[in-house]
Amino acid sequence: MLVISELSKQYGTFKALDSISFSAESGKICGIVGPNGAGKTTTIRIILGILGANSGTITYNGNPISDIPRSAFGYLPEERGLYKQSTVQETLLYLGALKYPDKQKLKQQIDQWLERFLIPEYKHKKIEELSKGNQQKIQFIASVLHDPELLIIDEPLSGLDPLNQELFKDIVKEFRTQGKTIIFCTHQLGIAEVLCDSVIMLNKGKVAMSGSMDELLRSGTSDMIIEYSTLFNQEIPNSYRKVSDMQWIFPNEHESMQEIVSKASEFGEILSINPYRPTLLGMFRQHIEEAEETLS
Amino acid sequence: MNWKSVSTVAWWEFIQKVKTKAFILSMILSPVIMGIFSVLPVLLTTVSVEEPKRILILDKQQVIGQLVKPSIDSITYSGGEKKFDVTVKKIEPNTSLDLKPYQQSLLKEEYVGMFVIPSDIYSSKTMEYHGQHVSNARELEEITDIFETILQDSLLQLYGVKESEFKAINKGIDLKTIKVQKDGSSESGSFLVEFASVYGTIFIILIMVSFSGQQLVRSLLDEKTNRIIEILLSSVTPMELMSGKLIGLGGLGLIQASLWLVFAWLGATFSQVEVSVFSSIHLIFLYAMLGYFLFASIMIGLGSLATTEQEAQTMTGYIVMLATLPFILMFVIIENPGGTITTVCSYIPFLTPAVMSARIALMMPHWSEIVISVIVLLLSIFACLWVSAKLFTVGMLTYGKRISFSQARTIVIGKENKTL
Repeated sequence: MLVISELSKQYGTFKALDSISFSAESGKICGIVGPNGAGKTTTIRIILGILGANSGTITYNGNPISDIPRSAFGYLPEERGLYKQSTVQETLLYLGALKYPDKQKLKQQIDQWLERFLIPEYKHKKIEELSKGNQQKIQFIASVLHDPELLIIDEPLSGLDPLNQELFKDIVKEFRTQGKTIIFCTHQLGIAEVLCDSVIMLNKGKVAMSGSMDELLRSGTSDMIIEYSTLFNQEIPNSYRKVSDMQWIFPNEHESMQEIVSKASEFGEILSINPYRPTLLGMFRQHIEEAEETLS
Repeated sequence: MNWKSVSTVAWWEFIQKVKTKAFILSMILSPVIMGIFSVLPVLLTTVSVEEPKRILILDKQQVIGQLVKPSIDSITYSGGEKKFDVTVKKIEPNTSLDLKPYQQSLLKEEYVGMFVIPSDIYSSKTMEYHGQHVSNARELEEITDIFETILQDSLLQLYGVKESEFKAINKGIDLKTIKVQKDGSSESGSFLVEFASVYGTIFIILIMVSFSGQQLVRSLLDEKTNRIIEILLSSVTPMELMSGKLIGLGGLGLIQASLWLVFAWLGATFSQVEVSVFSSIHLIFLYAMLGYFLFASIMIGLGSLATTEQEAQTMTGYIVMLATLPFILMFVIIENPGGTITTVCSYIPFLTPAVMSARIALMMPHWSEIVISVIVLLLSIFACLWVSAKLFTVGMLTYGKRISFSQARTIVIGKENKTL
């Protein structure tokens, strides 16, 4: 299990990470989500030992992360890049050899992975001759070739067609079945919802929300979302969360449907009333709004 | 440090560059171009496809002109073609000579040049040369030599001195320079050989620094631009990555330098020149390698901060300029290889490789000086690598924006919790 405690990182006066804590269990996919500049990449770079932190601790299975050999990690960065002039096999052999010493085994692994991704014919092609999607497959193979225990994948599905997205998702799920610890960074909250077992939402270097995906998506499921056709000139209390001007979420505090309708109709003419299904996107919006309100 | 990772990076860097067409071409072409540049000018002055150059001699002395004509006419190019065609015109000694018509002939290019021999040449030892240009110094020297010989012979006859007697009187001192070695042996030496040895050793270091250094910075910029650096830094430490790059690309420079050395050795063997520097070549290579590591360890730090090819080239240029600094000191070193200035320069890290190599080529320094200078270099390399490693990670992961000097200073002296 990967445990991150009170991790802080500062660039000059800018606080990139402000005392964040979370954990990622083995055999689970932990999603890290958040807008640009939230601190996702900085967190990953510190876990991987690429950057140092100003304070905090990271342990993996109880040991300081600095004691864990780099061969235990697999990393697919968001920034894609490979040696364009080299062949697929040369590139994979080099990147694999940095973490795995057995060249023969690496060659076998390369063949297997190219087969798995349905691109065995590209083995001796130059990287520059491959499509963007296929280059992404090669980069993914490079990150898992040495069979890492802890896999960190940053936006692995961006730029892929739907079929290849499914292929990538299946492979990530296979890793989960094998008991590996997977950290999945993405902007695509919808994908995180269906793929991740737990999620950490970062915003401006802080943990905005965290927990198991089931718990998060179950919370507030008895609330109702009410859509108005017209609104009266009466201010809606802050306890009702705004989705849009005409859509509001009413918290269900063990009230009957009649009571909710009765309360809601005080503010306007109701067009529809439905059970609220929370989404990561909705939660994230709510968090941002709340944070802005606190600031103002 | 994991040396397996270092060797993997080193081998990758070496093999990726050594098989490029650019490297193969540069390896073959550089010595060929250099050879052409040094041999061609000499060849061009000895080979000609032109007609013999017409020379006019206006002889007021009446005799000398006829005496020098056969000798000047017999000068040929290396291919046997006649170089000059001499016309002698005797001028009455007591008449005043109007040069204007002859100068007109020169301007009409009827003649390339014109010598005017005065009637009192025996006593004055002066004559004039007229030509549209006077930059043909080598040819004028050839012809003047003939005049001198003829005049000398005539004067010997006039004074009744036998040629053999004159030669015995006139014979100069032939100074033979013997270089005494510390191992008790001695060998003949010459300034030209010493100069070439010093120049050559400094040149080897410069080749390694400029060739491998440029490859190094280009490799960094490529990995930064194509973002593969993120994967590399998640696999190896910055120090392992930097060391691998330095060693791998140093190997490239070593191949280049070795090739130059083979050419130099072949040149020395064919011209039957004994060059003492070849006996200490292991030390020269040691200093060349250390010099390369020193300059390259600075380049790797600065190069990681570059955001464009142009910036990288400018940075590399400054470091190469630093490496050329010893050329300024070359004559000081040659004149006094054991002097105070040379000794002090031996311990200034940026000068040490070149100055010590030059000293070894000229006069083997005491072993303690070699040991101290190597220690100075090693410490400097580690210091530069330490600073560069700090700049490297931040520089390589900063895309599209320039890191200011104050930011770089903060990176170098800033403290981070690396032991999480």
